[in-house]
Amino acid sequence: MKDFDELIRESLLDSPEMNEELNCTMIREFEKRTSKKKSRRWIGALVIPAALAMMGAGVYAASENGFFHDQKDIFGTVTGLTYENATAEIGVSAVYAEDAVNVTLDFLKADVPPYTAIETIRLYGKNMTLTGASGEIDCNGFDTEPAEISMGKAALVIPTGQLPAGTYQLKVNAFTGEKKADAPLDILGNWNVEFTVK
Amino acid sequence: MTVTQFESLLITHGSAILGFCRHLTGNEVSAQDLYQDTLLKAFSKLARINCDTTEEMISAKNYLIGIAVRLYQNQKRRKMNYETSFTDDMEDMLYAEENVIDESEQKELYIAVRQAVDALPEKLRIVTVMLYYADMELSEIAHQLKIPTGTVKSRLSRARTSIREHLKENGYEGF
Repeated sequence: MKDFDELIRESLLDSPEMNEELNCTMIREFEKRTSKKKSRRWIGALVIPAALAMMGAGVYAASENGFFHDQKDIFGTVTGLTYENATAEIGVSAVYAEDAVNVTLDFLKADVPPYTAIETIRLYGKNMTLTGASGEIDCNGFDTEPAEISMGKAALVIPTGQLPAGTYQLKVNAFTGEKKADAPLDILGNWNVEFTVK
Repeated sequence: MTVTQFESLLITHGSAILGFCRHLTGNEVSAQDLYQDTLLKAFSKLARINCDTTEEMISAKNYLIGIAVRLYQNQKRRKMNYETSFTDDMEDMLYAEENVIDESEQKELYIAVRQAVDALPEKLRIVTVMLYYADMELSEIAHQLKIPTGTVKSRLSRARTSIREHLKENGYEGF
């Protein structure tokens, strides 16, 4: 009797015909992208706006635009970075389906930092409140999985479980942008959306 | 990684990565799309890593397979590219293969196993294909999927049980 593991391995073996044209396109694209300056990198995308934020965060805060803001500890040491005042830069809508709240994010400035420098976005329960007819619902544990940002949009699924019928208010004060090998970036704002559970 | 190293990565492991994508998606067209998306996604990271040795080359391949899994899962979550568990393309491919080898018993068994793998729930199917097709270590699978090694083992155990049951239902006893 053939070893069961070996049987599975042999059954799955195949050598798909390689699309050489596809590989050539990929190699050309790789060459093109890697020959560009390192300004495409995450850190590079953040340095200039962060410097601007340090020089005049107050001015930026009063405007419609978001801005980068250094997080400091009590000794004045920079411990992190956030992006603030982003309410007008991300459109948020929500619908309830299949025991979850499906939130669609529409990045209205997808072609500028920080949105060009994040790959996925997520929402943590601690950064939202959900209020129904019976009052506020505890959102601990309602963390979403990271959602890929594609074509200026992302779809988050908040695992609320079954909710009683009625109208709900979802308030979000921060989304978290992520990129592999980089620290998460909190994108702060004040988003309020309403959805109905039938 | 230089352009030459990238080219050699595709020559050495491109076929395996594409094959992995095909096992995930179930058809050639979606597999090629996923393969392309995976490489595009990985460009910036690949450009920053070394790929001189065989080990580094395998590590890059495993990294790409991890990306392929995440992209596939994201696509499925968005319901943009949902595939049924066993597509006509895959079925055609298997039966074409079956005809070529003159319906030998061994090949029929292989086909039954592939059908069983394809019918597995997504989480079980992914770890099964990563282990048996992509030839990845348990720890590497755990690392790429960001789950504990114990979870990988338990998923593989459930996958094996399910494959055995499928084979039994199709008249293949003793596994």
